[in-house]
Amino acid sequence: MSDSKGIAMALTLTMGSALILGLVSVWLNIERVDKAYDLRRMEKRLDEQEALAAKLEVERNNLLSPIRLRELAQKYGFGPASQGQIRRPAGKTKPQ
Amino acid sequence: MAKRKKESLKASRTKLLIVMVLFALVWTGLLGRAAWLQLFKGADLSRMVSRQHLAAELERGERGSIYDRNGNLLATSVEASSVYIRPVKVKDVDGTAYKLSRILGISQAKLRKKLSRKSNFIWIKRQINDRISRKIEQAKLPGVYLTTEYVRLYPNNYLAGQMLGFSGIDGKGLEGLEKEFNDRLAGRKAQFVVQRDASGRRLYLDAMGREMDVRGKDIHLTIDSHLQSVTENALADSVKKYNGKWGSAIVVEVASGDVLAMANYPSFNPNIFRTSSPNIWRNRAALDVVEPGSTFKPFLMAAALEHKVVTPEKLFDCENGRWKINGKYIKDTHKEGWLPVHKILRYSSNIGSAKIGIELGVQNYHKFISDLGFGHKTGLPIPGDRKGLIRPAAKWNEIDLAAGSFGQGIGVTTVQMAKAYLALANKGVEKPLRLVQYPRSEQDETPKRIFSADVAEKVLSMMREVVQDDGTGRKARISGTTVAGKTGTAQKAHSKGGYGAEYIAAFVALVPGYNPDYIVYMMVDDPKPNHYGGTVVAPAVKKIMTDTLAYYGKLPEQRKPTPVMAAGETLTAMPKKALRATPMQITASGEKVPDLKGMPIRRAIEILVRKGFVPKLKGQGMTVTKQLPVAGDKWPEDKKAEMVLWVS
Repeated sequence: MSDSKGIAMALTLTMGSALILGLVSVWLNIERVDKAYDLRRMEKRLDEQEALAAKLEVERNNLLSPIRLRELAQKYGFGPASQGQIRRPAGKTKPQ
Repeated sequence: MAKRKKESLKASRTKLLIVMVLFALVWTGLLGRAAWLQLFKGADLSRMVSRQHLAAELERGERGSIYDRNGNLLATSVEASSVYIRPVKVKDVDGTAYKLSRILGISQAKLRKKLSRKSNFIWIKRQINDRISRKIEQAKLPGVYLTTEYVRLYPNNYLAGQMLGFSGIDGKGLEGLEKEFNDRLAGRKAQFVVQRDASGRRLYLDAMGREMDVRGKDIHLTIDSHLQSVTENALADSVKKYNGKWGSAIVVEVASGDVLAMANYPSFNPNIFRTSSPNIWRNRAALDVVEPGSTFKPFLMAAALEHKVVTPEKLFDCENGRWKINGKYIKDTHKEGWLPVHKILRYSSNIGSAKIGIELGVQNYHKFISDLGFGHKTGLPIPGDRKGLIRPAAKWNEIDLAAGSFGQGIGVTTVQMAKAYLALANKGVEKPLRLVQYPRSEQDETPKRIFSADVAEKVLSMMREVVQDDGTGRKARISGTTVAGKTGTAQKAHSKGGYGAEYIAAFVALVPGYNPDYIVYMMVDDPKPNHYGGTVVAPAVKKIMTDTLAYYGKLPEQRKPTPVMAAGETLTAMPKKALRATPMQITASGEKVPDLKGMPIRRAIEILVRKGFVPKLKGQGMTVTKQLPVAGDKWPEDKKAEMVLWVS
């Protein structure tokens, strides 16, 4: 009698464990899919931000391009340093 | 009672049996169906399922960027939308054509024709800007779609256009460095399978092969954007001023062999390369072979000195500017008699050079210039890099040797000239030119001595005379430093043989003249009305040199002329020019008052004084903190208007 009780107990535990594991598995899969959606959304956002950063970088380089800086310099009365206009800090013989 | 109980039990058993049989049948049916689906239909169904929830995805990486030596962006790729249609899904052809026409600026007739085709995919417009893309999205036109592509942009527009080249709409390098480094720059493709949900959205449940880096690799050039711009401007000014056809220029750093600038004029904007002629796309500095003329003479001198055929003081008869050899006349611009070798270079005598060349001999001269790299490719990563035109020594006659001695009858490129002068500046040791910092090229780094350091110094000394003494390159002088240089005015060969009335003006400068840091070489094709290198090109080269030295903080103070009083001479007898310091050129040409805040007081005062205003100073210190008039105001017309600088 005690043997059959033990078997029944073991069977119940096994089935219970299987049920719990099954539920955990389902829950994990749902989480995984949920995370995949989040990941996809974040990847898209990252791509957009990177694309925007690349465009802004181009814009920045365009604004700092030598030809534009020269035009601005001419407009405001600046020009390349000519002889006698370069001052070197003391101790620096060859500033870079 | 017992009988009734027995009958009831029997009926229950029958019911149980029926239920069991039913269950057995149901389970057998289910298992049978499962077995049928699994064992017989399994493979087909699996494929169908895969089609439903898996999708193949192709990812294309963006093209790598090109940077200058300071990390400034020269070329890059950014995302842009392209418009395509699926005509079968278009519901209202006329309405769609009308709306697309208004947004994209394409004619309705053209759009209607495309929309009426029985095709599944037609491009409408590629690589549109974000504003237009947003309008297309907002229009929500059935059958009209947007996709993302990469568009190549050159933020500096015209800068180094010929060198960089450009890539086509499909991202393939077509010219210049874009073509040469296409394999490295091009973005790679990655194909992988992703899961998708019921509504078709992609799900990345794992890396699925996307861990591969598909972005193209960058390249870093030795070019300096600022110096490139300076060189391009000086070249353009020179070509335009003297009505030249085209010109090219190069700036090289001697210590590293780095090409700091390589310019061509006319230039083009690689962002809109289709609007210019393919002829302008050529990187003429490396592709166009021309006769170098007198800028080649320093190499003749080096060869003759190295072979101990001459010394700098050996005299040659320059025949008063006209000498007949084998029935052909060689002429000099300046009529000279007997000249020592160093003055033959200083005054650029063709007759003297021809006589030195004849004494040197074909074999010696040919081998020497070949060792300098003439007749060979320079090794720079430029598509179509030319090796020039140096005929085999066996085919040279005396006239060829005489002409070759002053740079006629041979063909070289601007880059080859720069490379040869780099060997001269490097005290006779060959040094490879470098255009790309990274990836490093696999050039042979073993230094090869072509001529002795003593010969290099003697030639440099002669070239210093060309600029610093009464030579042909006086217009390249920079007060406060020494410049070594050589002018060139080469006659251009006529297409029908012989030489016509067209010239190539050139000038090479090495600065400082002792232990040079930089080499600048420039040439202008067919300048008019003046065609002399010393007039057409030397001032432009001087401009490049001064800007380069200023940029690196190496521009020396201007040397003030020192009045020298001869014995017995009174002060009043001294020339007025000697007593007057060279006035500073006033170039403050802006229409508005600049922002002087934060500037050292000295600099701010300089700017105002240049405009003719003397400011009042308030406070104590060295930095301007406030100004009146404020930045952006128009310069007052009255030069006595109040200008105040607050300093702290």
